[in-house]
Amino acid sequence: MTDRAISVTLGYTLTLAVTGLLTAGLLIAGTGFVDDTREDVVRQELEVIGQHVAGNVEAADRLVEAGDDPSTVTVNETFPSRVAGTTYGIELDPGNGGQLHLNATDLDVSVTVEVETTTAVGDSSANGGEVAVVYDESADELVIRNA
Amino acid sequence: MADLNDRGQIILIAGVVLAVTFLALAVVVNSAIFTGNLATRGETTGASDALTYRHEVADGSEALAVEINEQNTSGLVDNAEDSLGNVSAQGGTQNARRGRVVTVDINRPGTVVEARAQNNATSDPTNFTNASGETDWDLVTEANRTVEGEFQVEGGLATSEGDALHIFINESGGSQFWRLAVYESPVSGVTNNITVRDDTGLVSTCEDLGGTPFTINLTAGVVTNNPGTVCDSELDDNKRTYTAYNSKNVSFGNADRINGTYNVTVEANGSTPGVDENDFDGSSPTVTVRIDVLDIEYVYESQRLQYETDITIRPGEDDD
Repeated sequence: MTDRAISVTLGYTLTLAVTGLLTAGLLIAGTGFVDDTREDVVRQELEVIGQHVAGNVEAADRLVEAGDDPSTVTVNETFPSRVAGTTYGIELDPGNGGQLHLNATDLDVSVTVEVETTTAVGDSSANGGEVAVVYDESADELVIRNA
Repeated sequence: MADLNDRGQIILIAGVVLAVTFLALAVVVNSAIFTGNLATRGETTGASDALTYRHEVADGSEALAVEINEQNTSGLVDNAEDSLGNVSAQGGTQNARRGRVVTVDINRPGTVVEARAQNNATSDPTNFTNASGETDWDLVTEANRTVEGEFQVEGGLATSEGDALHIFINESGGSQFWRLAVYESPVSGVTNNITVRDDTGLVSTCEDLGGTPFTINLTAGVVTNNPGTVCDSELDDNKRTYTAYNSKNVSFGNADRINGTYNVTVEANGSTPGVDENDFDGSSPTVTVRIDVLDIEYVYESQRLQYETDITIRPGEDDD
């Protein structure tokens, strides 16, 4: 009489349903959290890398301006080739007084950093990794490229 | 009992998925930590060091050039090259300890040495002889350019071209020459004349200049007296054929056949124009030889920076 409401099948079904619900909830919440966090981290890291590259462009500008027709100005810095698991590209855009655009390859994340230079900047691009700011003497402009 | 063995599959799959999620989270957290590290770094490329050392080299080299100018009338460029070699060696060793290679060297073609010869007759015009009274003598040799050549004629001129004061500008070590004679005209009623000849023959003449004083300005290519210009084409660029000589000497002949003053300034690139100190003294005639432009090649290399530029120094001039 005491086990009239209990059946093995029902017990399994209930256990599986509850386990499935819990697991699905955890996965949905967890992956969503990880994705959101990843985007934030990628954005922040691209901003930081962008600021460093902008600093290097401006450092190269100071070297060019201080020099007397310098024949070589190259400023190298090594950055991570991937940020939070995604690769990224850097574009130096002469428009709007000079801007750097950093775009993540796998995510829809883009960052723009202003660059202020006296020397003109040339339309150029590089991928993450070792990025060099180079003075192109013939065009009298600064460009970026992978070292 | 067979069903009991299958119960762990969902938990196992869930565990694997969670593990992957945690791994992804670890990558994200690692990236965030690195971002924090990168964000707190200062200027790491060494650009400030390169500029600081460049300014040190510029300041030191200017002091060096000023000292060379005060102490020497010959071999100025060689002295500067030797001294900059010492600067490069000393500074190179210090920088090598910090993991960078820095070299400093003179750029001879860009370095300009100026020599200025003049007599300073202010109240009592003198002739153009040297300090020993010699009438035929070289003011300066092996110059690349004549940047100033002004001769104020007060009187005392010969009465024929053959006996006249000659200003020679000759090709150094070559056969080409250019000469200008200043003399009183032997023709009655005509005042003073100038005749220019070079190795090809007569170049030009300018007659009846009027009385003295008058001024021959070679660099401007004119002769002027009190009312104004009296010879405005006889010393044109195409008449001053000496400008084509790569290296030239400036000399006087019959220097006692004139009274007046002169100021001759020449320049040479990468070498020092030659002057004989015995031809000059402390009052008149005098000569000064100085580095006008010191051009330096500055190379700074480190792991993160390559910088090559010229440093142009004008000793005694404020470069701000």
